[in-house]
Amino acid sequence: MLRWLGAALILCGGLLTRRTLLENTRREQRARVSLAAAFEAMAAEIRLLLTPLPALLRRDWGEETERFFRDIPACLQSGMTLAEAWRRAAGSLPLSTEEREAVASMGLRLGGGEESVCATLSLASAQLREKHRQIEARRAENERLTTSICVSVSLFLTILLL
Amino acid sequence: MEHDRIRRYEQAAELLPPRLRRLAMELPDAQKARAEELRLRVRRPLTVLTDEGERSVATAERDALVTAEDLEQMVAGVTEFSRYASVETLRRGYLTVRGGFRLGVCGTAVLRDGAVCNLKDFSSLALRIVRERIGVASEAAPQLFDAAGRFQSTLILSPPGGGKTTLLRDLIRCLSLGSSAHRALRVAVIDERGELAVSCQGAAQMELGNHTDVLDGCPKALGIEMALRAMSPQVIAVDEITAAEDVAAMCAAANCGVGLLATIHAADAAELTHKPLWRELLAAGVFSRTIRIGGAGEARTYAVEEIPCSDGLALP
Repeated sequence: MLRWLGAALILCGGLLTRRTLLENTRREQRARVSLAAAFEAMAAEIRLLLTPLPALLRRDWGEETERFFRDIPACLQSGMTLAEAWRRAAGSLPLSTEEREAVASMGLRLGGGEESVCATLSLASAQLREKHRQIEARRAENERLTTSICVSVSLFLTILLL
Repeated sequence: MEHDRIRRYEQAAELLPPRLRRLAMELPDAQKARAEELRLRVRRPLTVLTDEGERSVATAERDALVTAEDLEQMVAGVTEFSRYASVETLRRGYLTVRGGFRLGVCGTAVLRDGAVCNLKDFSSLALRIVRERIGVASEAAPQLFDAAGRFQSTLILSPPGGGKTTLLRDLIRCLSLGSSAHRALRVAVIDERGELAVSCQGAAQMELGNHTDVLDGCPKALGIEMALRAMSPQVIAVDEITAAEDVAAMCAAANCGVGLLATIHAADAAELTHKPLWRELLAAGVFSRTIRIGGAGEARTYAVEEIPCSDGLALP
């Protein structure tokens, strides 16, 4: 009886892991879309109205990136430079390490003129959208792979247990 | 009064980088109340400008030495880390700061097609502590109307740092509020450098009366035209007219029957005749009164004088 209970728990654990992994990927995707849209809108507003960054950062840019946009003004308030504040805040983004590093390095190029700031924001937005598109294109395949690995590992452990 | 002056000084000092801010805050209250500007120059001590002149804020001058990083940090702070939003004023050598202060900037000019398009490698900054003095124009304001109660276009004259902007701001307030003798006038303020209203998100941070429309950050010549077209003002107020196009716009406004209130760097009306641009303005007969500012600090005097008709002015 105890073995059957253990087996059921292993199978549940496997399914939960699968769900968590897929949810993480979806969350990353939502963060990419939200961040790309925010950067695009910021660039457009800077071009149109030259709105200063703090006013732009205070906007509601979506749940996934809320902490990122909230942390930057707080870091600036504490005396950090824009590049440092941007880097620190980028650490909280639910993205891959490579993408986080790319976003973190943007801060260095945001202290310049209108053209360079808008170009930096537009480029970052385009890169995030491209990454989102690539992951979406492989999504079905990735989900199948995740499911089969999780189910296989849990079945294997179940067989060993029984 | 002194308490307010100290508070304004401390608000200005908040804009300094932390190390220099601490030194500036340690200044005795009597000095804080008299401070007109804080000046930062690379590899020189931070100084405070009062009516007695400039002095270092620290007794040991080495403690107050300013670095290039201090200037960069301060400019980044006052531009809210968004230099692109302030480049128009920065290239003209100043920045308007939230809270009603003004930062004069010197550095290396970046030239493009012969025109200054930006400033880099900052070498010195002058933080002007703008103070609002409500009531300072109460005595002068009624003298700007003729016997029939019509407002007479007026020039405010004084050398730089004489208190022209402070007086102009309070005159705008007086005209806009009106009095028992004179009804309130619609005043359009063309606040090119953001020093009069010190607008923040559309709201004037200085008291300018109930019937004042502010066009913030707009070049004077363009602004006068826009205000005339859109707001049908009875009086247009501008600070520091310096360019021929401003004079032309003011002449056009005067021809539309609008009263004008403006400031000029000059000791008196006679000095105006020595400068070709002002001669043109006087010859057009646009202004009929001047207010000459004398004295300094609390002891400033405001002498309202009639400008003789242009023919009567001895042109050199």
